[in-house]
Amino acid sequence: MASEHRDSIDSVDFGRQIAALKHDLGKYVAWMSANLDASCWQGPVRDELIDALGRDLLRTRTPAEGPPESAWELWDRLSATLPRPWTDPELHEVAAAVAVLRRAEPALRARDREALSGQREAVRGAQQKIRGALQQLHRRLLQSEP
Amino acid sequence: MPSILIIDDEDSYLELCKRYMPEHTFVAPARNYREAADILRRQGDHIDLVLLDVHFDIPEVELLPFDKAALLAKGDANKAIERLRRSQGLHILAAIRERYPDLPVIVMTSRDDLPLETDAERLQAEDYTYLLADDYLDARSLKLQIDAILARRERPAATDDEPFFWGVTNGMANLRRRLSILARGRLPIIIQGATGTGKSLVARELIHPRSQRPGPFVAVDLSTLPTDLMAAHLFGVVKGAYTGATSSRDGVLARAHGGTLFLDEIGNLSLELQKSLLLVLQEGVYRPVGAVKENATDIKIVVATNENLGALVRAGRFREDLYMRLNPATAVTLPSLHERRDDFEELLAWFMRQVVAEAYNRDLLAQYCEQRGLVATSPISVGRGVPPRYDARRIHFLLHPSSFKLLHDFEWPGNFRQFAMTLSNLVTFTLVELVERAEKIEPEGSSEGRPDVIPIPPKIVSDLLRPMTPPEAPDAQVMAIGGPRTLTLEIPAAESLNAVSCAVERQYLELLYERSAGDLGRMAELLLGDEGGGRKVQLRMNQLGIKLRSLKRRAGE
Repeated sequence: MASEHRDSIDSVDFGRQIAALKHDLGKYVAWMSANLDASCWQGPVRDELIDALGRDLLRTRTPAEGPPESAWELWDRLSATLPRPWTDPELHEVAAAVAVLRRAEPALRARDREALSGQREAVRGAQQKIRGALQQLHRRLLQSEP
Repeated sequence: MPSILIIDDEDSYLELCKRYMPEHTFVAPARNYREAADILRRQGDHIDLVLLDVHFDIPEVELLPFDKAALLAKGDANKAIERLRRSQGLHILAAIRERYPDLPVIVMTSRDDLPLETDAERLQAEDYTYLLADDYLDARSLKLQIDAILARRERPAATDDEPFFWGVTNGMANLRRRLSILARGRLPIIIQGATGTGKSLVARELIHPRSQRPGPFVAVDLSTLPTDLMAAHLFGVVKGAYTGATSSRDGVLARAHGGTLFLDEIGNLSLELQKSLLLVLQEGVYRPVGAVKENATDIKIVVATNENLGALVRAGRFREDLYMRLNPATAVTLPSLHERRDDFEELLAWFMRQVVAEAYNRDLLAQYCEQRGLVATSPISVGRGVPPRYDARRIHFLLHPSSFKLLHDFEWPGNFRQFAMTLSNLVTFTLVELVERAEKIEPEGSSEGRPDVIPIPPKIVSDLLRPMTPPEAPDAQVMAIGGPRTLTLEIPAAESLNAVSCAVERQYLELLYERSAGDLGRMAELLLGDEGGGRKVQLRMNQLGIKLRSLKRRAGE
């Protein structure tokens, strides 16, 4: 794997960056919505789902100082410091999933139930992809640590 | 309703917990250690659990450690601060543990997310620290984890099945849990506490069973063993080791193999034998008296003392290396009865049930019940009030409020042992009186037609406590010069009459000295009617070992 070619100092730094991504994005991107009942993802879009997605995607991180960060803003900030080109396939998967979430932003801000009804499955899949990919990458890095 | 403190720089956990665990109370969240410490200081007794995040995006000034000079001196300061933020929860945990070692804390991260593998190892080895099972938080599994931890804390600490009274306070529940955890480990345990606090009971009935060791529980009271027999008793002896050793015999170490060895009054162990015990703890071997070969042993050692072992070490009476091997960091102190007044009513009821179950009292109660048509195996209660309704299937011992106060306020220097004996006597004397006067049926002072209520006569309580009440401080006074001189003295028994009279004289002279403001001439006038006899008085005081310098210093304080 590509990560095996990083020298040990880079590897430690990279590992920390991925751990931060996993924590800040992976953990909070589905913080409330992952705990919703399955019924929330079917049928008419309920306030409960809109509230949970709003919290998870529009206010993914709410630091004590400064404005809240959306999932894509968080990704942009944290991924900007990752060494390029990305040789780990998981990062590309996360980037693609974040793009799906970003596309749902207008509907979410407008609480547009009809639009959200069409997008919610894709959003849910993207949330799961982000969590899974970052978890997998983090684990792999831990295992390959010297 | 259990109270949970969330320490998190954001509202994420609070939102989630409030949404999915409405049955719990979440106190206002703490954003950093300073706020957490403040909340715990004010409400610590009411906090049942802490949920602690690991990553804190907070201003540098709020990050632990507050003194970061050493940290920032090494390498990139920004990276160091960032690392501190990423692991801040662990610093907070360490600080909390210093003051609240038994407070359950769920560190809201998975093992994989901890900055270092050693952190994970350490946290999982801590008794009251829990990590999340999953990488990503699932409210349902968190709720299960929280409920399981709270259930463990809420489980009543005391049951009548256990012969030790644990009570209902958080402090005792924590003590019991701590001992249960220590019991399972291989390290020795030190139990401290005044006489009668139940040290040997706890060792036998709690620690040994929970150690799950297959061998027996063997107890030795080192204060009762003659010094010259101690080595043979502990380590065994081989035939011919000394005159009189006509056969080889095992010591208690051999008998306790595979089990628990309880050494009571460990402070009485001679320095020589302390060395041998150290070998047992270090190497798991010992040498019987007169033996050439060492024997291996596998025992859990529990020691008890009512002395301060640390002070014994400082006084050179206890080996420091042995003390360190005895695991002093986890030493457990059993509180005295006096220190457990918060629990007093529960404690009274528990001991009452115990003493009523003793054979003699049980027989007396059976006779009482038979005479009055009550069920002999009725549950027992005790208190200051009369239960509202007659119940033939319950016996209530009624204490007069003044008796209750006497029992409650008494110092109980002999602790639970003395308390149990006193209650046992109370029950016996009360029941004997009632059984022998059965023809009268209704005891004096009882509620009309309420044989299920047995009043304990206040006189029995005061009569039983009086002999155990320490004498009050002597009210010594010397009358004015020329008038009659009266003096109340406290004279302990001594080895000879001469010693007694010297003690009397010594106290008398010390008091006179004080009242005469150190004027020996005045004392001589009082004693001999001769103001010029001061020198004689001084000589006599010297003979009695009275240090005039000390008396002067005391007078000046």
